[in-house]
Amino acid sequence: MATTPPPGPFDFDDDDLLVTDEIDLMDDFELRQIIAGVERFLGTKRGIRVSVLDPQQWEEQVNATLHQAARKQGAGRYLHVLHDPRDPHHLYISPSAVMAINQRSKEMYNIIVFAALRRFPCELSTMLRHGLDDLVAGRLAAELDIELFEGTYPEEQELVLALLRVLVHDFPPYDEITWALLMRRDPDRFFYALRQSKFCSAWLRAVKGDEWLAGLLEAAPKKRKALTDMLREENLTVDASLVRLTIESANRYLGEGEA
Amino acid sequence: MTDDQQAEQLDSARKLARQVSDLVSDGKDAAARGVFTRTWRDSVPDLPSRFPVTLENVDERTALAVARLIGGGSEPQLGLRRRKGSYEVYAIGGHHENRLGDLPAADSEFLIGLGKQASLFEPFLLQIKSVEARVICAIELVRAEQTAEADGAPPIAFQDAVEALPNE
Repeated sequence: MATTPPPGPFDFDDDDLLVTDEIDLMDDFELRQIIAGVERFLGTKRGIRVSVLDPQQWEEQVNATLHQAARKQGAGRYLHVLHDPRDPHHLYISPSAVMAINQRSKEMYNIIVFAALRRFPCELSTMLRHGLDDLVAGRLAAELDIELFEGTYPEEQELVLALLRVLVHDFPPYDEITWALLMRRDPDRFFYALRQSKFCSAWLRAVKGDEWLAGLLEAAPKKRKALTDMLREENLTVDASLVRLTIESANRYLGEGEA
Repeated sequence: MTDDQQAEQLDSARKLARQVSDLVSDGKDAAARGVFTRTWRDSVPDLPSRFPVTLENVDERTALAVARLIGGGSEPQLGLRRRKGSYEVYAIGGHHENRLGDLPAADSEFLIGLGKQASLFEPFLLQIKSVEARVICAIELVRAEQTAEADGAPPIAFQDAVEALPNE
């Protein structure tokens, strides 16, 4: 006698299928934990706003961000976070990023953490912020128990690290991360401390040895202030002689201190 | 990816971010977009690691059955196959492969352009919902065997370049 095969998982009566059967697998709990961890670590008064977009909203946002030629080339497939052009503290997160965070993807931790760091208010120049973010990310990784790459901006990082180390040397007992967080939260106080440090005299001497930089400082009534202001300028790049001289004189100063 | 390739990719991304930022600061938005279009590929790995896709021509019966199965605690497996010059996603149920929907033309073309490498991408369900009595189904295509080490550092500097782009 012929037997009827058992019903397969897709063998439903049409009447059993309801349009209310909706599924959304994008659980953003882990993602928000990461953002909250960054916020807690930085200790900023103002946080960031995070919107997890569904696939259709994400596509709209990619289209609003990338110009047509880049979209056609598929650049949008490499994007996982976007910022809101109307609100500098607002991040849009792709559905893929949420899934990847739930799978503990090192790549996505990196993208999310750095994107969050970029969105937190910070009055530093881009160069200093990039270097500082690389350093802060390293400490954040340990705090949040995640793995991150930290070498996106190594030259910028070298400069910032040199500044932190001279402050640690000149003002015990504060450690690097204390100075790093102060640099982020209150750059004016950070650079005031730098001007008050013993290192600043050695730094000023080194900079005056450079004819062009010495010329720039000559007219300034407050040379130390003028020096730190030059280092904070937005258009300063890692190739600038001031950056090289700062790193060299910091290393020399610390080396002499150790000796 | 070798360390040298990784360093080159990072250099390209940093250079791109700087160029785009400088051009936008100078009010040269079109030039910034042009630089981005010409060089962004040098700043990222050859293949994206994962990206979301909203399917077209969704088979509502299959989609709703998948939603119902997941709601009941099952996990239907999805597959990707080429058909008539494009790609479609199917759900495996019993011995049957039930068509779920088509990839949009741009994503089909992307996979076709990859040749054999297209098989590196696997579909995973993201969302099934109904909007105005129409069923919408979204998946993500995830590159299998992706490793951070193989790809090098993720393109944070590429992200910086995108952030620097002028608003559309």
